[in-house]
Amino acid sequence: MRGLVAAADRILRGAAGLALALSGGAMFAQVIARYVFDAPFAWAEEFATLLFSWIIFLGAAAVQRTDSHLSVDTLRARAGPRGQAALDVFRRLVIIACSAVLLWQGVALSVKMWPLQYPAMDVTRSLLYLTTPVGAVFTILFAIWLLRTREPPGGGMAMDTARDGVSPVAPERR
Amino acid sequence: MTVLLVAGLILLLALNVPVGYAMLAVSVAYVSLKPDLPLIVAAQQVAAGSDKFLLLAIPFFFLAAEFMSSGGVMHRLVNLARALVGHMRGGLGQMNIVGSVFFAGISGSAVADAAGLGRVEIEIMRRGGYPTDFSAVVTAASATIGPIIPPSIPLVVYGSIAGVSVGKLFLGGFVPGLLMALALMCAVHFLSIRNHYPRDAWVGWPALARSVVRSIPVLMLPAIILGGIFSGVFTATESAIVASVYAMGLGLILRELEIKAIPGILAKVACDTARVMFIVAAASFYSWILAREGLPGALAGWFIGLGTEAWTFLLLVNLLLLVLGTFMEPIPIMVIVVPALLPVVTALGIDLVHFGLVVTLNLMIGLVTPPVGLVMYVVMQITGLKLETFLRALWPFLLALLVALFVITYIPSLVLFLPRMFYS
Repeated sequence: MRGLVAAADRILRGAAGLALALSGGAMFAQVIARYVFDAPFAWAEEFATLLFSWIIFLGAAAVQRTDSHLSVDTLRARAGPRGQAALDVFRRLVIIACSAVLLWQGVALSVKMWPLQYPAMDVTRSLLYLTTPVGAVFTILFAIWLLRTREPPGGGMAMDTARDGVSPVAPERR
Repeated sequence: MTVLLVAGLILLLALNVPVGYAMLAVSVAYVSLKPDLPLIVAAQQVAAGSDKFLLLAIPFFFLAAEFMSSGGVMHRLVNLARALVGHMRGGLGQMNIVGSVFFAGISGSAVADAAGLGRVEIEIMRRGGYPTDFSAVVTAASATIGPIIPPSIPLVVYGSIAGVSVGKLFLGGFVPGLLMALALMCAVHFLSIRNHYPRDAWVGWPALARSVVRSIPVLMLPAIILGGIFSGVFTATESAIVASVYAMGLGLILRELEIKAIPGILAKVACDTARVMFIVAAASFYSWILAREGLPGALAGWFIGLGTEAWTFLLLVNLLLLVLGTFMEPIPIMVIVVPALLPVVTALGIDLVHFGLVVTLNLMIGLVTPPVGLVMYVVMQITGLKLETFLRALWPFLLALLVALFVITYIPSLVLFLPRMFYS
């Protein structure tokens, strides 16, 4: 399972970063087309917004790998080791339950919405509704992994950046 | 039912469930108890909560600041600030504040200001012989200016919740941001006289001019963002994208950025964006349910029934947010509280742009106060200070920020005259 988790983490972060680059590229090309060539294309905004949803839900799943979604840890910080362990299990069970609902209902919604199309891009709107179930699958995988390994939740922003070696606390990257 | 929705959320938050999932869990529980609501609305509302073109500005404001966060770029800004105000009493403290004002024009997040620029500033102040606690609190307090002076991540989120033009909010942020800087500079001035902090010699006009010239490529970035939005050439989202392309180009030309670092930066920005936006998406589901239960309308009726006037309401909101701000982050508070209050704000005739700046400035103060204050933690991590030491040094600056908040709350025209001038 360790290999699967590591691979999923790499793929998610890569895909979310790529989606960010593509949505920026499409919008930038749109601005250039409008002002330089006076020929805007209508699909850029739809495409970039669709990718934004993918960035959010793939990124949110990647954040779950370190369990570093923003949370209020005032009480947890005051609990003993057993209390903390119990809170961590509870937190992950809630995340799994919510993700299971998003997975199940997200698939149902995608099936239902399949005939609907984006007006300019001419593709199905289910590409938007698939973001939540796809993200949920990875979130559930990571949450189960964390239940097994009992890693403590990550410390918010600092955690993610420390893994990249691009810590906000050390701006000199080289 | 409304009470259960609010109490359930508070309980889950206290039990350390992440903010987004706490809102989702309460909302899903509500929907499954309502026979007339199919559970599919959960998937629909959350997806719809992410499907917002305006909010696409957020990752690109993050990205532009990230490309600009190298040591070399920071030093250009800090040197300019030092040349400008270093000769004042406590000059490096003043430099710290003015540097934050410049960086606020590049970054829309207070944590990025404290973590990136803060480290550079604290090091310079250490070499200048300033006590660490003083450097730390000046850095933390001045970082809160970042999201007030445009661009601003919280103001983009507020604009999307309240349906207010981001351009107006950005214009409305200038005077409050400068006022915060002025209040903090007064605090530095008095402390510097009392503690006999040193001053630099005046560098002279030629040296100042050289610093200005060296900073021009960096300061072009805010010019692109603001000029683009206010002239109507770009939307807020487009300006953020053009700014990040410019920042990337400049970073590569100045050799402050390596091509092989870019994929890592993109992944980091995607994750930081997801942290904020997952909460926003879950909150749009939660506040849809609160609205369905009629909470915002009931709150408005209650406040008006009590004969509440705008000034008492603003006072109550400020007190509520200051308390919430001590143990929650700004964006979660904003997405939970603002939708419920908007009908009251409108009914009392308070301008939505003014209200947005009051809320944002207020929530920034929460970033430097314990137990939960991200900026405070970042600065403590850089300096290795203990919480007690940090807090003892913080209070004059906290007071200065509260004075700025009070003035902004009760003199709306300070916020509104710039947007009115441009958008009349």
